[in-house]
Amino acid sequence: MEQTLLEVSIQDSGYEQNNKIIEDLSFSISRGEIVGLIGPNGAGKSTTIKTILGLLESTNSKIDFINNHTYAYIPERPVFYDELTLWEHLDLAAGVMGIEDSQFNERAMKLVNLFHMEKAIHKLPSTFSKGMQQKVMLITAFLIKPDIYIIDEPFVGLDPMAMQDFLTLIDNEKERGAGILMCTHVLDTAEKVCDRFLLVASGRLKAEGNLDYIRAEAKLPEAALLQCFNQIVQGESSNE
Amino acid sequence: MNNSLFKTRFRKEIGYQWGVFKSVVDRTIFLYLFIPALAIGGYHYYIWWSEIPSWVNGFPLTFLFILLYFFCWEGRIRTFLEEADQLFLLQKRYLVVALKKSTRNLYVLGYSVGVLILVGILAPFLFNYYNLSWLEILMVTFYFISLKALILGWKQYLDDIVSAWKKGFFTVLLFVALGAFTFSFVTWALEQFTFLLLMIGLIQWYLFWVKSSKRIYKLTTFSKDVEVENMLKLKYVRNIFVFSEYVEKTPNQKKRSSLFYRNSKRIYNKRNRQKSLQELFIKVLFRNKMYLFQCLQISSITTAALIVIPPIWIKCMIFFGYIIILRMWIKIVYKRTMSNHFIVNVRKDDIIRIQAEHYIVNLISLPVISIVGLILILIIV
Repeated sequence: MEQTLLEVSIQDSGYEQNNKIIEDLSFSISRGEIVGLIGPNGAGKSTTIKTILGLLESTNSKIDFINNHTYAYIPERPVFYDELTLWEHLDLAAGVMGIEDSQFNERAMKLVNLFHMEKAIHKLPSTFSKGMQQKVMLITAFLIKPDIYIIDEPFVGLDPMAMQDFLTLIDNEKERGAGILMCTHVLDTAEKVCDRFLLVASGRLKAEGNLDYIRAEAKLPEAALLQCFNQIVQGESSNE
Repeated sequence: MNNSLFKTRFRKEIGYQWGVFKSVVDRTIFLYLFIPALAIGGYHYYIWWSEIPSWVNGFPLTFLFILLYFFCWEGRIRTFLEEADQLFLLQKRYLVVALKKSTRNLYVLGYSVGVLILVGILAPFLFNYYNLSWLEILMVTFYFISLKALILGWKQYLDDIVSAWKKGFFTVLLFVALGAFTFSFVTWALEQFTFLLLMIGLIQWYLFWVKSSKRIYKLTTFSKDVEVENMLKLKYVRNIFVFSEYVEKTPNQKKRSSLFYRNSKRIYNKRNRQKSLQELFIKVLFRNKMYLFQCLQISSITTAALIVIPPIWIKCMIFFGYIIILRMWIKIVYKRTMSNHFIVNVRKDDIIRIQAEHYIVNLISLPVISIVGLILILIIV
C-alpha cells in the first residue's frame, strides 16, 4: 500500500491570469498524517485549498490524488442546497461516492447521534445556526470515509463537546490511514493535533516540518507554535 | 445632516441600479433595441390621438381600470436602511425617522408620476374612445394615485405579518375587496357624481398618511425594513442572475421543508451515482418556487403568444423557439445546481454529470413541451 496520498506542486495560482496569489508551493500528504496549513490572513491558504480542489482556472500546478484517492472537503463557510434536508444531504454525499445503503444508514445514524443532530435530520440545514451547519459538514465528510480530508477552519462555531468529538473522529481517521490537511488559525489546538506544519506567508511556503523543525527555524527551541509562527512571519516581513 | 444621509444613500442607490441596468443594456442594445422601440412606440402613440386602432373595439372601460389597479399593487416603499445601521445610526432616532420620511415621500411621488404616465399613455383612448372629459380623467387619476399610496402603506403592514398563510390570506382578501370596490365605485361615480372620486381619494390619502407616519416613528420595524430593503435592492439583479449559471443565488430564507417527497423520502429507492444527481436536481427544481415560476412563465408567455398571433407559420416558429429556450433553461438550472461546492468531489468532467444532464433535460422538457404542443395543435385545428 503506497504511503503518499496527495502530491501538490503549485508553480503559481490565483483568481486572475495576471494576479498570482501563491507561488512555488509544493508538499505532499501521507497516510495517517495530519498536516496543518497555517499562515496569516491573506497568506494564500484558501487559494492553496481551491487549487487542490481544482476550482481555479488561472493556475500552473500539478495536483495528484495518487491512484484516484477520494477526498472530502469541509469549507470554512458551510455550503448547502437550500432545498434539501440534512438527511438528503447525507444521502446525496453517500450516493455520489457510491456508498451502499446498508453502510450509509448505519454510519449516518451513528454520526448524527454523535453530534446530537437527531431532531434536525428532516430539517433544512440552510436554516441552522453556524455551529449546527459546521456539524453537518463534518458529518458529511466523516460519512464518506475518504482517503484524504481537506478541512478549512474546522473549529469555527463548534461548541466544546462537538470540538472534542471532532478531534476524536480525526484521530480515528488518522488511525484508519486517512491523510488530513487542516487549515486553521487556532494554533494551540493545531499544535496538539498536527504532525507537520506548512507555514504559508505572502503566497509562499516559509517553513515546513514538525514542531521541532519549526522551532529550530524560528530559533525558539521551547516556544509554542504561536510564538514560532509570529517569529517566522515577522522575521520575513522585516526582511522584506 | 438629516437630509444629507438621504441624499447620499439616494445617490448610491441610483449608481447601483444604473450599474445593474448598464450590465444588461449595453450601447448596442440601447442603439438597436431601445431607440427603435421608443421611435416605433412614439409613432403609434401619435397615431392613436388621431385614429383609434381597431383592436380597442370590445374592450370595456373597466379593462383600463384593471390595468391601473394592477399597477397600484406594484412596488413598495423603500427605506434605504442598511443592516450596519444598527451599529450606530439606530441611536440617532431623528436621523432614521428623517431618512424614512424622505424615502416615503420619494417613493410615493415616484409612483404617482408612474400613475400619471400610465394615464397619459391611455389618454387617447380615454378621450377619444370612452369620451371622458378632462375633469373626469383628472378625478380618476387622483383616485388611483391615492389608492396607490394607500396600498403602498398597507403593504408595509402586511410585511409585518410573520405567518406566511396569514399574510397570503390578508393580501388576497385586500386585493379582491379593494378591486371589487374600485371597479364598481369608479364606474358608478363616473356616471353619477364625479366629485365623489375626489372625496374618496382624499380619505385614502388621509388613511395612508396617518398609518405611514405612525410607522415611520417606530424603530421596532428596523429588522423588517432591512429585510424588505435587501429584497427590493436586489430585485433587478436577481432577474439577471436567473439567467446566469455562474452566479451564486441569494440564500433562501424559508424555514420549513417542502411537501414534495417530505421527510427526506427518496425518489429512487435503488440508487446509483447518476441517480443521486438526478434526484438532487428533481428535488431542487420542484422545491424551488423561483424555478417553478420561471418554467411556468416561459410556457405561459409562449402559450399566450400562440393564441394571440394569427399566422400559423409564426406560431410554429415560436413553438420551435420555445423548445430551444426551455431546454437551454433546464441546462442552466442543472449546471447551477451542480456548481454547488457541496458536491465538489464530483468533478466537472465526470461522465455521470453529463449522463444525468441528458436524462434530466429530457425528463423535464418532454412533458412540458408536449402540453404546449397539444395546445398548439388544438389552436390550429
